[in-house]
Amino acid sequence: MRTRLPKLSETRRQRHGYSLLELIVAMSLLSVVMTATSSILRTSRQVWEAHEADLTRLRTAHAVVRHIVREAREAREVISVDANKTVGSRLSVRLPDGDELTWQHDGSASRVLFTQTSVSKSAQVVAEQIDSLEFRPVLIDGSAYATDKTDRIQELTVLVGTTLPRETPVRRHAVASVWLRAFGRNRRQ
Amino acid sequence: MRPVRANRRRAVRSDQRPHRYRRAGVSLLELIAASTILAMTLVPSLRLMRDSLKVSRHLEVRECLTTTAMGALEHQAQQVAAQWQMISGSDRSYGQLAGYPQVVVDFETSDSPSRGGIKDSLAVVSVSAFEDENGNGRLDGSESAVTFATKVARLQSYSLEGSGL
Repeated sequence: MRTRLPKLSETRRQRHGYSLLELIVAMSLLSVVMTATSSILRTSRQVWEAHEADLTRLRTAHAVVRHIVREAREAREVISVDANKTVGSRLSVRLPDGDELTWQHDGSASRVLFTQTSVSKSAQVVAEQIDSLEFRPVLIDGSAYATDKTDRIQELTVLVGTTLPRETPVRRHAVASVWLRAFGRNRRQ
Repeated sequence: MRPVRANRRRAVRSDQRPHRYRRAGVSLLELIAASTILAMTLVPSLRLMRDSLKVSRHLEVRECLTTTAMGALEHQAQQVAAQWQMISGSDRSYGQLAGYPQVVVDFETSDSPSRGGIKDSLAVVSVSAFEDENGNGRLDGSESAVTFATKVARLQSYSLEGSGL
């Protein structure tokens, strides 16, 4: 009895697995999905990094304001202040122990410098990427500041400006007031 | 007779052909499976992006609220020390200066013992900076807020200086 050999067409139909065409289609689909996913992940990472950059600059601005408020609230008197000047402004205060603190905005380098006489005579960089630093002094009775009344300043509003690194630059300010707790000692006798 | 037999053979072969060779397109089950796989990869990615934006904005506003509350507390403390007037109200100027017009400050100064003060001697200064999301000017439960409070003693010399004497 002769054994019947299977025809070629029958072996093709009975086989298991995938054809080359199916593999190519599957791999193409997979690559499309992977490309779309990685593109979305990349975009989300870029967005996250952009917001991180924004937050870093904002935190820097707020840190400068808080530093000034924290230190200046103990001041006995204001030695000098560039009132209502946004770029290159300067504030010097004297503490009860005689120590002098100075904040200076370096407009050309967009940074804030700080000097404490008891620590060092040279200025140290407090923050960078600060576009503006403004001081708005107020006298104890709420009246407008005049240059001959520096020793009567009781409150300062500090505005620190920074530009967020976006395609369309956005300006933001950190704002706070500080009460110089002079309690009558700021009057020159 | 021969063409008839050939047709019959062709018909038999067509019936015996495996199912997957006959169909055209994909089944609904396969479509659902493919969509599920796509959703499983894309949805977390999109959620990650949305959450990162949300957290960044939340941090930005909280930073602004903290600095604003601190500054407003200093201002109100100075005011009450100089004038000794117990007042309460709202202030939007800090938020507008900072570039966040939705930030509102509620403040209250009181020397009432029920608030922790001493009549004509010790004032309680309380400040709440909040993000007025719905624009109603009031602090609602769902809105972010930072509250600071302090006490200011009445100093006659400072009050006199504040009154210009």
